[in-house]
Amino acid sequence: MNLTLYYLGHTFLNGLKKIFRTWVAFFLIFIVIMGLLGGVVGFSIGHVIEQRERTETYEEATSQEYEENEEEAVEESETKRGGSFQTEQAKKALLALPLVIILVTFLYAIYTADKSGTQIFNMADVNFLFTAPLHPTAVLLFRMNMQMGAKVVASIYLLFQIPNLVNAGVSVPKALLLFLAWAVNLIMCQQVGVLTYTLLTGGKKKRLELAKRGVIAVLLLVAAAYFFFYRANGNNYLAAVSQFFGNASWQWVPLIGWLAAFCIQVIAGDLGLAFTFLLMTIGGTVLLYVLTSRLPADFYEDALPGAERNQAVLERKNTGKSEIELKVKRGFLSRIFARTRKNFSHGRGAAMFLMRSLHDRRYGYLLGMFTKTCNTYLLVAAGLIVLNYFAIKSGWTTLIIYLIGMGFIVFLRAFGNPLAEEMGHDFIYLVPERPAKKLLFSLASGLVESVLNILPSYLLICLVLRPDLPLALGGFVLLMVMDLFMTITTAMISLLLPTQLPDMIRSWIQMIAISMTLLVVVVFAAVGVFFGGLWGSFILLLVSMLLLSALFFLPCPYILARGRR
Amino acid sequence: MLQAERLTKRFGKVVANNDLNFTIPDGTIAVMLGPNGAGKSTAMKSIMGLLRHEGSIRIDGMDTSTVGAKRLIGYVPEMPSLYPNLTVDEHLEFIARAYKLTDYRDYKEDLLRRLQLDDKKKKFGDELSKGMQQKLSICIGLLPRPKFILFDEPMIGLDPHAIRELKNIFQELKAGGSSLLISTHIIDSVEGFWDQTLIMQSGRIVANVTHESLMASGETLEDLFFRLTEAGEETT
Repeated sequence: MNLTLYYLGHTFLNGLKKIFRTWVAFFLIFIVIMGLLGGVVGFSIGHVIEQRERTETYEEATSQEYEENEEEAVEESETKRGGSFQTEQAKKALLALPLVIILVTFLYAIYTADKSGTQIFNMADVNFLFTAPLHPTAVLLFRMNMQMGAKVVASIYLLFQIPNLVNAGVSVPKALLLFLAWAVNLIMCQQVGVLTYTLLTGGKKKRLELAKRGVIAVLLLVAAAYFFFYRANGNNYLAAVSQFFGNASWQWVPLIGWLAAFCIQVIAGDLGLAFTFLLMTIGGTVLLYVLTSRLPADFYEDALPGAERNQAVLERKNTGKSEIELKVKRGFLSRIFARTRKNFSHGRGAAMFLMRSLHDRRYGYLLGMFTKTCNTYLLVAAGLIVLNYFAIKSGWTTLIIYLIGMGFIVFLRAFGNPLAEEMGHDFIYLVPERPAKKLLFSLASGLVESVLNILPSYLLICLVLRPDLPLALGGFVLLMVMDLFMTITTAMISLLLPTQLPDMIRSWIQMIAISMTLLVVVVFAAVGVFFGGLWGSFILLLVSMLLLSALFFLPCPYILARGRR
Repeated sequence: MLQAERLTKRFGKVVANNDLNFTIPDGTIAVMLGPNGAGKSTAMKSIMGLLRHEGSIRIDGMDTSTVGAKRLIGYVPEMPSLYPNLTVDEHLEFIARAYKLTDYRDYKEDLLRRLQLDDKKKKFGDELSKGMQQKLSICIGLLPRPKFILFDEPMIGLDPHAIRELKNIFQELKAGGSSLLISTHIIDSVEGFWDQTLIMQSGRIVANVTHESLMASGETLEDLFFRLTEAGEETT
């Protein structure tokens, strides 16, 4: 424990010291100050308006009427802030959500347990701790504690979701308690993953396959239970989902059920019962920790390749290069459809940044089309078609499914950065061309990649769901403009941020910056609705994103010309 | 005394170490020589308990993978890897805690001074050059004052001053009764101070000679090395 606390304390403080050596510290302080000022100003204005309304109400009404009005106002306010929900259906759906999220993350932790003991170490651990007079289990717990801490700290960005929860009718203290539940869930899942690894390994990797099979068995069991529940209750499919996963009986399932019950009781407002469930969950997790610490572990050999890989990533990052592993993997079908590499130009000068990616795509993937990203989108499209089948039976419209699909694609796209590959290599700095030209070709490459990745799944969705033609075309244009906007925004941020910055801080800053810019875009869209309805909103949305993209692109060539920092 | 008996390490069908048998007595500077891919680093890792292996490796009668044995063994890896968010000084403090050392501060200062790291104590792991990282790695390996120390290619990346200082440290450790096993493929780097040499090729020990026996034969270490390894290549 002494060792863990020493490492944790110094790593955290030194991480902060490093941040405060860069301009990023000013940015973070600015965000905090603006947040505090915003809070104070918002509270003051709200207070003044409330006072004025009360005075006006008091002057206008008789004392009896006033009392009645006040009661109504209090009821209305409680309805909005106190934890009630606008519709019973939304409430049921929200109650099912905690269990689904906890169950999925829990099973995922077990499914990927083989990585829990092998992928979490770096070479410094191997050199200093594996060789030190420490039991392997102690080393495993040391790194696991660090991972748990890092995951909890990294999930602080979820605090940005508090306004959304408040809008959904959850009060701020309750939203904070739900955030606590998420932190406990992360710790619990990490613990379960490591315990599974320690129990099943022991030099025999094949035993870990049992964990994967176990997870599949549990999933099949849950699916079967859901099916019987649906048949017994005669509901529609989606209503059955919320009733099944929101069922109180789940609270008897250790850990998963207890933590979900904590969330449900928090939402329902029974804090006494909620904290009982929380204590049970924490107690169970501590028990797992103690159990893990008593088990003999044998993972050093398995952890070596993972540690070497992590070290390579770290070294690439320290030299300012991308941590992305760059290699085109050829699948079985791709090999069958492989083409001879001829008559295809790699481009000259800056055009190389566009042609190279097209070349890799054409010769690396099935029909030059079906990349991993493209296949992911296709999977989403297939899922939406299945959802559509059940949703129509449950009374949902196809338009809602189409919009969900659009949302999914934007969500998945937000994770990626097509320029990361180019920005991570020295060529973008070394090729003797004007920086603006190199960036434009890189952007073109990113855009073409995105079009080709999204097109098959988008066509599939449109063919099956058959939205209006203008809606389908407009939606695709919107996706592409949004793609360009996000690419330029992330490229600008990645060029601006110092390379030595911890990943967590980089992610936070990117998220804050994208959220802020999206806020501007949303304001434009709202103004558009006011003046021209849906199409007005659509046009202003496009215009605002294109303008912001141009604005963010302007400093990029200068930063690129300055070189990597 | 370090004793390896029938040490064999397989990676799937590849036999990286094939039936190695050797003993390194106390107060000995032993050298493990061999071309790239001979199995030196694998043997080192097996001795350190990092790899599962067949056969036994014991130090003073204890299996080297046990906690008790690890108190006696120090390790300087081939590739120095440090924690990016710990300073030079904090790395050594961290190791002192891991080994539960008590009387180490003067020795720590001495090591830092000798390897010219005393003015870099506040530098972070990721701010050091490769050579500096290697120097710190050596300090870390030596801090617990181990009875037996493994050095995997220790001279790589070091400046001439550090190489001279390291050679002095080798002699001092030997004089203090410690044993050293130095793995290298650069014969010149160990010329003049070794007591025992293990020459490896294709996962096997093809020669286990003492300094005295080689001197008596009139052959140099370099000649012996090329005679054995190139003969092996010709036969294969």
